[in-house]
Amino acid sequence: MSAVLDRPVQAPQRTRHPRRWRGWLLPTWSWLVIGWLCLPIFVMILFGFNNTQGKFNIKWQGFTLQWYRQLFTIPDLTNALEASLSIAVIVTVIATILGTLLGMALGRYKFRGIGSVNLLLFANIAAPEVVLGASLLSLFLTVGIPRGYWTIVIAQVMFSIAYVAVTVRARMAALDPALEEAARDLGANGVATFFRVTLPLLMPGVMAGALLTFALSIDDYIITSFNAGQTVTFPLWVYGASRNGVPPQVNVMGTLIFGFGVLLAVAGAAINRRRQA
Amino acid sequence: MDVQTAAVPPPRAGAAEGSEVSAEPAPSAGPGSAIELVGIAKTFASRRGTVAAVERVDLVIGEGEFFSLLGPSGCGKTTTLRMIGGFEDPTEGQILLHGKDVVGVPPNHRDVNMVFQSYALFPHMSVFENVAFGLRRKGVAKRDTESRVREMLELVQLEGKADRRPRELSGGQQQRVALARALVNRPRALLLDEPLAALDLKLRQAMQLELKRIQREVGITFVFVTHDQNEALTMSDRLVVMNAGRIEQLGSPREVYEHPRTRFVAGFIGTSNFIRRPVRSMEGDVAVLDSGTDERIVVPGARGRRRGRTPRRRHGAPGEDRADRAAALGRPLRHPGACRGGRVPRHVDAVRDAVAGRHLTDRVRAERGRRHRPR
Repeated sequence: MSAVLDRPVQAPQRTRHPRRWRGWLLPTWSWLVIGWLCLPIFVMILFGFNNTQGKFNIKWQGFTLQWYRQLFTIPDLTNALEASLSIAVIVTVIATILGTLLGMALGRYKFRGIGSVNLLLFANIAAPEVVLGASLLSLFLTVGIPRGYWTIVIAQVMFSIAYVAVTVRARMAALDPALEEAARDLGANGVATFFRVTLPLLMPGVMAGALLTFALSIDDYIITSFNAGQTVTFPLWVYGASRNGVPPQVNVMGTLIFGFGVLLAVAGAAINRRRQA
Repeated sequence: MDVQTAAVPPPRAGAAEGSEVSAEPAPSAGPGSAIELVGIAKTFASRRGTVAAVERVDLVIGEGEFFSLLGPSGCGKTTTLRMIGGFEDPTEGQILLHGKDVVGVPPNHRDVNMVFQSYALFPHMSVFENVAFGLRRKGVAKRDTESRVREMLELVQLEGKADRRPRELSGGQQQRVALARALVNRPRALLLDEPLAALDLKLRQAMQLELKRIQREVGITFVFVTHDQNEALTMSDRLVVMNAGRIEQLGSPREVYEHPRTRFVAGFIGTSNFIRRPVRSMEGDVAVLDSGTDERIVVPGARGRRRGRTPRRRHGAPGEDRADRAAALGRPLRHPGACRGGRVPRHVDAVRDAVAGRHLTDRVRAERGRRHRPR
């Protein structure tokens, strides 16, 4: 017994790791990557405040707010922005509804052809936009649909559905089917079950899909350019203008759209957090 | 000696024969039947044809009864429960809820509520909203809803948790919310699909008593699905043991425990050793088995036989004298179905010696020998 007690009890020595290069390399590297990603956005925002004199807005010439005041002084640009925003809203609504329904079916049920549908979604996302745009154009030409506002909508809905469907599918697959059964059991009919249980629980997936769709739609250039006809959207106008100088209003609009997007994302995250609290 | 010791742990003392088990023979469902299953069958389509989950189940569950469906996984008990709830439609047969056939009636139009194994609480709603869900769907007035929900939360002892989200509650508390959410609708019957399976042992035992208390208080028919024999035996008024889509035995916990009607039930319920020996003779109620050595195995109370379950029944007329039937026990067994008879329960001291050192159970059953001619 004494043999045990005589020996002083030693606390396990904690081996201290010297602060090595690993300690600072990761944060530094991370911030470099973040900076790299954000740099173009900062430049865009900054040059929205540039008191530029010439045609080209590439040299810092002092701070001004005049481009914010003169935001809508270029009618073509304003029209293009309007077209883009309205198309984005329409596309988001249509693609979100269709994509959600598709995602629900894929996430919950086993049906004939489910494999092909999943493959199709993947192909849709993976296919080069040039190919999609060109083949849609040839389709519209063959069928004889005049290109314009609504062909842009159709084209963008076409490529957006897959994104919504994929996000909703993941959410739906993770949803316990018993939740819907419980709702039915408690007296809810199919409609009430959907709106009070299924949809609220799918909402994070649906919102993620919707935001993605809006973002894809508002800055889509390639597919839109094939199918736009005479309609000019914001990206198309900017691209056209870039040859003889992009006016600072474009930076301002870009800044505003970006700010709007960030706001939506933050709001979504906040709602999610409150919902889970 | 040919002794088969079923590989089962020693029984928990008083597991089945404790105070909870009613001593009376199984009360029959009586005239006030809450649920009647008439020739229910359910087959599912699978890649290799169809799979029968439930085959021809007939069952009458009485009003206010605590009724359990007990069986191993895949025996069809959950499917049966889901058919009562309206989540599956039977391929064949009728389901009568209080005399009305409800096959094809969707769950929201059935007067029963279910407690799901996963609880299926709505994560985006508070406890209060969860419990109020059913009442709101039925358009119960706001004030009534409020008071009924409060009352129900009190019953399950969750008064202070009304504003919590389900995820903030412990497993046992979630279980109570699920119970309250179903009971608040005052269903004619409550269906419980292994509601305690996710709880730890201690909590499970506490919840067993709790469930029993609640059932007594509300007086609603409980149909309880479980694979846990302790649960079924301690809580039920009556139960069925199911296997492979069929009912093996229906009875009170005591009946099922002490007089298992089939070898499956005997193996599934309690902890048993099986001895397969020919019967040498019958001395009154005591069967004497041929042990193959000088020893005799004496088995009192050859009850299976008395209930007319010997294979003899297939050949002979009823009312034959006992000795004759006892002799039948020794006949070679040809037909697997004939296995039903000749079980002889209770202590056999000879066996205790025969497997020296093994912890033995208090139930031993004898079956007819295979190569033995009756004396």
